[in-house]
Amino acid sequence: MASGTTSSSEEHRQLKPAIYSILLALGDGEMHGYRIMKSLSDKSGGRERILPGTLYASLARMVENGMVEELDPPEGEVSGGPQRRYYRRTELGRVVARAESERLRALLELAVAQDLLPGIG
Amino acid sequence: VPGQLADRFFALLLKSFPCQQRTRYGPEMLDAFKRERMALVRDQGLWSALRFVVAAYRDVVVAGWSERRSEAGRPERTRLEGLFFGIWKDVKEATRSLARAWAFALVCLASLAIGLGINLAIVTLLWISLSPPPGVEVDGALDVVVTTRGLNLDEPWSFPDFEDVKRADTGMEVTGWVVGLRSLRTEDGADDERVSAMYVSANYFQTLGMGIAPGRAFVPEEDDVVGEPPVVVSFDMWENRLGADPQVVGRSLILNRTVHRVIGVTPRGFSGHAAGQDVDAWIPLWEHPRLNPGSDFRYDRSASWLQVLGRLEEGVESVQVNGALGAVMGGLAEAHPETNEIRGAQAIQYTKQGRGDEDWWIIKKIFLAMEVMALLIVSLNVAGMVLVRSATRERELALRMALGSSRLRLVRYLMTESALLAIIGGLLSLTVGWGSLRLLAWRIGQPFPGGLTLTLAAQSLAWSLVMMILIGLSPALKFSRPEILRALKDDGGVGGRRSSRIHRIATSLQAGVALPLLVITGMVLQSSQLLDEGDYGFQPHGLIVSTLDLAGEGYADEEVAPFMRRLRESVAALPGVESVSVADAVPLDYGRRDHRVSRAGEFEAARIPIQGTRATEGYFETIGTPILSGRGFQSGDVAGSEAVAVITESLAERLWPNQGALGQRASFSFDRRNYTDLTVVGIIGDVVGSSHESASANIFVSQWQNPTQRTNLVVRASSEDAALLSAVRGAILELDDDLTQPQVVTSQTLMDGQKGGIHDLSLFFGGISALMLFLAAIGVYGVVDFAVTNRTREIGVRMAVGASRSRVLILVLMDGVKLAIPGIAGGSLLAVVISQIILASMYDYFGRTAVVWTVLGLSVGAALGVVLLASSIPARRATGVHPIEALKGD
Repeated sequence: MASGTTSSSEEHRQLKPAIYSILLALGDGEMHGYRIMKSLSDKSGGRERILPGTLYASLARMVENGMVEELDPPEGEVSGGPQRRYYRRTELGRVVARAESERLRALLELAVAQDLLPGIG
Repeated sequence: VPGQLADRFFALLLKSFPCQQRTRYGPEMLDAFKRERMALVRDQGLWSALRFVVAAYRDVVVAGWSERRSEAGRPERTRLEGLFFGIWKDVKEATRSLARAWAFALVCLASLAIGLGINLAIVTLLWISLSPPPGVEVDGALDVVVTTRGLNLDEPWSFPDFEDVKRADTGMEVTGWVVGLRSLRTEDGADDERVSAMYVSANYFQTLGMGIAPGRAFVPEEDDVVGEPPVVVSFDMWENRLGADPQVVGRSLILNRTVHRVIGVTPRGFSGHAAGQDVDAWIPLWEHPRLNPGSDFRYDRSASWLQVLGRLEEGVESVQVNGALGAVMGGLAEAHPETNEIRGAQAIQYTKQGRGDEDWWIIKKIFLAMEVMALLIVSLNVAGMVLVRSATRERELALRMALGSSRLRLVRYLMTESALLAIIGGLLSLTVGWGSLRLLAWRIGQPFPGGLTLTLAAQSLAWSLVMMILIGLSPALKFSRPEILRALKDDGGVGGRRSSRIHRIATSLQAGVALPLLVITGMVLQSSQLLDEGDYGFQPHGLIVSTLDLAGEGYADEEVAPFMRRLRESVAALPGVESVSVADAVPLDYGRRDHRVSRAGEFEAARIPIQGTRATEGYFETIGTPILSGRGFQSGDVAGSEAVAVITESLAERLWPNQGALGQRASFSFDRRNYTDLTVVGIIGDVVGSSHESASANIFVSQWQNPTQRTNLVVRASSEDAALLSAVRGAILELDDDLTQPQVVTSQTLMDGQKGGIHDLSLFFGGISALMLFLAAIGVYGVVDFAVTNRTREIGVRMAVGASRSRVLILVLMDGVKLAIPGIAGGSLLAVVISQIILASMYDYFGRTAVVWTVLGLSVGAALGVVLLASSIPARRATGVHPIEALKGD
């Protein structure tokens, strides 16, 4: 078990919580940065939050790694501010999000077995 | 506006990102920040928005730095970044822990803000009053004064003496000056206004080392009479009365019916080279009425009226100058023994305060003493609170240590708390300092004095930091010592008593430090009360005075008496006027008239100090002082007839005890040189001199026999209403409508002017001592409250064995009093010493010694009262202790 944990954590060493959050917030939609911020806090019921600095630094990294792709804004979009880039999760992004979720599930199961999450299991 | 500021700051923080990313994502990041901020304000309120803003700031910096790091290929945090994050964490923790201990934080902040704020206000006031006027080059500038028998008696120069010194090679440049009032009429012929003019030698501005811009200073040729005299105006006059005219240089001004040409404007804020001068215009010395062609003053060495400033020439020392000056004056003494025999001169370092700098020295000392006390109280107060707090949180610290905090980490954590308090307290103190200066300026009715300077504000912040760090350091080191923490685990958390001895001493001192201030306040109040109640030997109500400077208005000596006589007649005819007289002073006008008198034929040592007034017929009736024997002045007491004097009862008793003074001969002089013998023709009731505390031994001589140019019309009227005052003013202008708007005031107004000063002074001291007492009260409260907490068990036991509530109350109250007594005793001693020093040096203000003991008693009472009041809050709490709960506590 010890070796398994190690390999899984090595695989995801680069996956920071912010990146995982963004991948989940994006889902299968196309969103601009501010929408991602809102979406994350809406979808998590306000428990999770990402702030502009981390958001854009992470997005830049994710575009570089191919986890998301950058799109032009849709026709006729009026932002009332600067022109906004849109982002979509790539296939790779989906795979990474899934791998991380698996890893977390394994940990969660452990927690449930120890009765740390009353109401589940 | 705050929102915009928040956005701007965010934009600034975006700079932590590498340039490329900033350009690419910056606008969007700012946009997202802005939208979220606004959404939060709208949906969840200001507090959530504020928390978001702070978090987003931190986030953008962290993310930006991390981007830069990975760009540079450095995965680790740099030491600087590590420090930043460490400090950030400390600050966050410290903020939370201070918010929990809000009472403690509040007391510390209040102490810092009030104490340092007062300190800042005092230092600023001192700084303003000590710094030379703008533009003056202080190095090498000299006050050149006349001495009599080697003593500096505040005497001015005669014109010929000044000219001789100016011509001689003394190694300094000298310039003459004298202040007078002029009337101003601008070209467009508006009403006359009074301006304060200074008559100066052409080299006045050079001697001060000042530049004049726009325009120029006087040039040497302007020391001689020229057709259209030049005038330099003050910045203030240029701005307020000449409409800030950019073309002012070359413009014409009419001063006392003479057209003057404006040649320059002084630097902003310059209104004369000495404190208290409020000069609007500088005009050539030769314009002074005393220097009219053919005037005697130009050649008269007995008439002293000119003041002199000097500047050392390059490479000359003031010792050399004084040597040369001595030689010149020695030569003059030989050549003109009748006037110059005992006269010398001295060049001393220029001070803005100029003459009377000894009074100033005392005021400076009082201010410095107050400053030290304020600092002392604050530091004692805060030190006490910090000690108490450290003691009460020993368990928390022990827990932290047990969880693996290093000692350094713990010290840093504690110090951050101190620093945080210091910074907030320091900033608050700036507000308090600024506010109290505003308040003072408003109260005195003067414009706000220059404001806080950056240096002084920084100094206040630095004080705050140094103080808090020193204070915080000792408990931080002490309580982070491992062996103490081990010991702590063994005893039940009462180890805090270790700190209480230092703390008790500190608090005790606080109660005492406020005492000297209370005593000073009491003395000031007492003297102001004496003013109201005193009987000064004359009737101030219904007394109206108009001071006329006829010399300044261009009157020749021989024209003064006829003018004043005519004026007296026309004012006497006004309805409501009971009597009119002419004199050079009235009681309590705070003029300067200290002279000496002796019995005729006695030598100099026997002369006693008195005040001398020039008066004329009807004067004593007019001021309301009874003539006890003999007569007052009569219209026949003029030049050429027998020289007469009227003296007060107590002077008669001093000069001729039990002999009857009428008909005796007294020797008196206005200039301390030319003594003349006078026959005493009348004795009047004792009447006060120029100030409330001046002795009532006074002499009066005939103004017609001792002419003077500055004189008063003194009127006794049935009322003091404005119509009468303006009727008197009208009567003066009817005789000469070119006179500068004459001031006509009631004698009460003159007295009130002085009393107002005393009231302001008492308000000032009173306010400060009240604040200090307040701080002391906070300190006492802290200690007693702490003691009650520590003694909860003991109190519980006492109550369990039957002590009544009132007994517990008294027990705790006595604790507070016992605490304060050593401090109050020490403070009383200090107060006595300080009040004696003040009494000795400021006799004019605090005339009566006896009151000090009463005032001291009251002050001690007040201090004890405050201590009791402060102890009563924890005492009430102690009576609420439930025995069972208290015993269960551990």
